[in-house]
Amino acid sequence: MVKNAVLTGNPNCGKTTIFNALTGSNQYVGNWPGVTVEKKTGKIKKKQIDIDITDLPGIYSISPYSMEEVIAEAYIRESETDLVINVVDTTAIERSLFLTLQLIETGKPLIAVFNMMDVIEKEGTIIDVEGLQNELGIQIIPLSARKNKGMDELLDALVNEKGFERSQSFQDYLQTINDKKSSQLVEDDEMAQFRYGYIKQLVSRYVILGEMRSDASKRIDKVLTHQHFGIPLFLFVMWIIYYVAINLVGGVSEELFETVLGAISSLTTSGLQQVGANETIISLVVDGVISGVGAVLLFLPQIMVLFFFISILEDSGYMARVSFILDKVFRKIGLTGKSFIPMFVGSGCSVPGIMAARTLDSEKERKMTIVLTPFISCGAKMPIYIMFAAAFFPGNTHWIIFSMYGIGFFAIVVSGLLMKHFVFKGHREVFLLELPDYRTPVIKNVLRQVFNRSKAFITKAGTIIFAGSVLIWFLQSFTPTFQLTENPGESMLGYLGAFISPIFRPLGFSDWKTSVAFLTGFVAKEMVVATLAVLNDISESGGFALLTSIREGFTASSALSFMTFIALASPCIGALGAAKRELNSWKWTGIAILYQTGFAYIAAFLVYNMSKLFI
Amino acid sequence: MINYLVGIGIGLLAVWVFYGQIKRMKEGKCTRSNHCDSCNLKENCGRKDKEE
Repeated sequence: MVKNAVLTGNPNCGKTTIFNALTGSNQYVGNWPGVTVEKKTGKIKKKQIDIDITDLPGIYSISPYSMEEVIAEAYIRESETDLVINVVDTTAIERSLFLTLQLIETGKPLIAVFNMMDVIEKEGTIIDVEGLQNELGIQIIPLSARKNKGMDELLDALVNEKGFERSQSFQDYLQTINDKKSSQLVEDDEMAQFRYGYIKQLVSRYVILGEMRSDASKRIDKVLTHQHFGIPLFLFVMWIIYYVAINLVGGVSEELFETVLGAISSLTTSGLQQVGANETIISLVVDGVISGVGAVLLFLPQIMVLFFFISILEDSGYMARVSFILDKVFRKIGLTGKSFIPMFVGSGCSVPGIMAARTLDSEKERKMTIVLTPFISCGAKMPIYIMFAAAFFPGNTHWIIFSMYGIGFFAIVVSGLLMKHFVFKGHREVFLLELPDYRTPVIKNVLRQVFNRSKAFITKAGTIIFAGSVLIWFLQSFTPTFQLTENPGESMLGYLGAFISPIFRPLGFSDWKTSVAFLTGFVAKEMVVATLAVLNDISESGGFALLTSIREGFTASSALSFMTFIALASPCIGALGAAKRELNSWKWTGIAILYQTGFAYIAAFLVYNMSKLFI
Repeated sequence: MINYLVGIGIGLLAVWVFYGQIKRMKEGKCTRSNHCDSCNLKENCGRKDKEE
């Protein structure tokens, strides 16, 4: 009886989709190689099956060429795994069977799962599954994970393993491989050639390749990865997304949410007055909790629409192309297009973005990517941008937000050039990336991503933003001697803000409230919005006047400067912790913080002074 | 009475949230316990069902 199984296969072959289907998990899936960077474990709890299952990062072979391959090989050989489930991408069967052969050579019990059968059937490709089963002596389950077809057969196979006899030709192959391995004189390349020779024989006997293979993807790629139009097209796609999410949806939802939150504040105030609550408690609930949490939730509709479009791009396979078209830019700064993937993941949250850098092979590229990834604004900074852009640049909010990503990218290019010339000198890395076929996004996957990310956003507002808002309210309501004060300037927070605010005077936002808001952003970037909401008493005007209060404390130039500083300055404490873990060095982490914050300071200074000439 | 109830209730809730964060940080676990479903990283995860 199987107790511990491991899922392994090439990158982007659908392992995590199968893992999710088997365990009922909601692990992140995407249509590009290297989505999974860390092994994940789960339990199959279906049909009275009780199996622990581990999903490993994708590998092309178990030869020790990359860090993932070394780890995966060690796990497969040394763990207590009693069944290997090898997911085979049938759209690239020759390459996938290389790993299958190596896995069979380890001697571990193995089931092969032939995934994406629906795709190859459309292309007219036919695989003689039964013939291959009898040839290799392993059970093969054909399925289509994205369409959830064939899962029951896989579950049955896990319970009732079937034995197959190996064919004579395969036994001869294994004998020759073992002889080559034991002779110690045979090079890895020669072994690989021998395996591929055998795979060619297998494919010629058991696979009839379709005529239409990847033609559609190739045609689309001629446009989307065009040498000259590729990058402008990518920028255009992103611009459309921001226009729809921020301008079209945002314009309607902000007004609606302000009205709703204003009504909640008024109702809460009158409710608390009726039950005899005093002014301080009403202020705590309305100015502290509702203003702080509400100000962040105000931007949920725009963020959900953004998540929706980004999930569609992820699921379609376009993001792998973007990393390909950006390669020529990244090469100039000493990186490769592969570094785009961690940066793109970082646009959701810097923590998994920084961790995704471990898929990069070279130490130099990995370190540079970890330091540079936070320059791409994470999703938590989005409410800050929307708030300032809507307050000062109504009608052009999407342009402003778009330009914040432009500033981030500019920072990456400038910093990359500096690092390449002064810190990480040396040879260029080779960039090999397999472009997955384009797929129609599965609406279920897209909605699940939107739901998960929105849930995370709401939960964060309900926990750390709630607690942070209460703390900010407390610190701005009491003096250092714990006397209640009506004047926030005399409060604990007022003194702290006044102490640090001169630092920001050259950047145009020397107000103590803004200085404090920047500091609270280290806990979580959404706290910047919550802090400004609490400190500006946004519910006092009878409504929920977040944007009005922001207009009073800033000018258009200082708002741009503040956004630039937030975009580039050191990320939150969670991301810094991730950077420390991945860099494994306090020295490098310290350098990264100082560099990012110093760069942000100079950039914000320039933006403030230059924008004053135009605005 | 209502003032004490609301004030202490909200205060305790906030302390509980911060305590949870600091505890996880001390244990070297991820402090983003609310972030799990979109995160692929089991390493240092603070959520029980992922640790099992």
